Amino acid sequence: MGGDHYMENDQLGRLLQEYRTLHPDAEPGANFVPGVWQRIEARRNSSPLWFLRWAKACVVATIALALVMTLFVLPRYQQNALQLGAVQQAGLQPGNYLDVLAAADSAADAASPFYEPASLETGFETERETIE
Amino acid sequence: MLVEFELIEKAKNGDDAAFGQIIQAYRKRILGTIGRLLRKPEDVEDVGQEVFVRLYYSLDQLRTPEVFEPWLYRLTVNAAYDYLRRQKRRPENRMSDLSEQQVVMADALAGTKRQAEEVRRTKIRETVHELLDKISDEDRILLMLKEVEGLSLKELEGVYKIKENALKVRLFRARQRVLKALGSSEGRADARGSVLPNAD
Repeated sequence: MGGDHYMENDQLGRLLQEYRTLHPDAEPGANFVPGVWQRIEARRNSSPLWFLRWAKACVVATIALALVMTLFVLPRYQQNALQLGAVQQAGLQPGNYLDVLAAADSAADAASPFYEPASLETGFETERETIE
Repeated sequence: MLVEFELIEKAKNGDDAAFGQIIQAYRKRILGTIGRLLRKPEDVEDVGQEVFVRLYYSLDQLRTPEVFEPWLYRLTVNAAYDYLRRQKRRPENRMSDLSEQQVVMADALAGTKRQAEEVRRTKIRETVHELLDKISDEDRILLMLKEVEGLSLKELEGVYKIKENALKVRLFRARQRVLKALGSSEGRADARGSVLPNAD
């Protein structure tokens, strides 16, 4: 069975090779090469190619702009980070205005005498005393 | 390689004269391959021109001149696929149907040795076309590139951008499908006389 398979495979290979000899490479017509150049020229002037080039230029410009913006923003960001570090070193509270405000509030609350646990007078105690 | 690496480099750098020399060097081979892949003589030059136009506009993407031929075959195969896709959208008379009549006519005329040889050739063409028509375009083109065009597995790796082992598997399966088709059509082939070459 395996032998049959190899024989068939071999026969197929030879059949295809014989097919190859029946179809040799043929010389193209005289207009073939000029036709190629005409098509190249036509495609060069066609709108999709212009669009493609324009799109490529846009992509390059976008990347360049992104790089410039990064270069512009990065030093400022680093400067801010340095300032934050300096603030932390000085023992100050970092954060935005709201954070600072909230922290100040909580400090004030802790120091306030008005924040003792509140007792609510319901009136039951006085009633019970009256009964007794 | 039919051209020097230097010529490819020149063409890559925009030298149109160098590109013209590349066309001159490869046009016969590429048109031959397209002709065998498509079997439509009237459209071979059209597809061939498309291959060289694509080559012109993609040559700047070629990494090294060493991979030029697989690159060119890749463009050829892609152009052939595009053509076949377009053809599927507008079906026409199948070439094998027309050739069947030629076989009958040739059979009737076969009296001399030359005519008998012509009949045998026609039968080989018919058998190969019939077998290859029974498998997918992908299998057919792969098998043709390997067995008919004589590309090595290494070259096919460059064309298909897949590993050698995967290619071997695909080739094996393609051969199996053809052999299966051969088995099923052998009865008909026997009726016309076998065209398979003997093992001797």
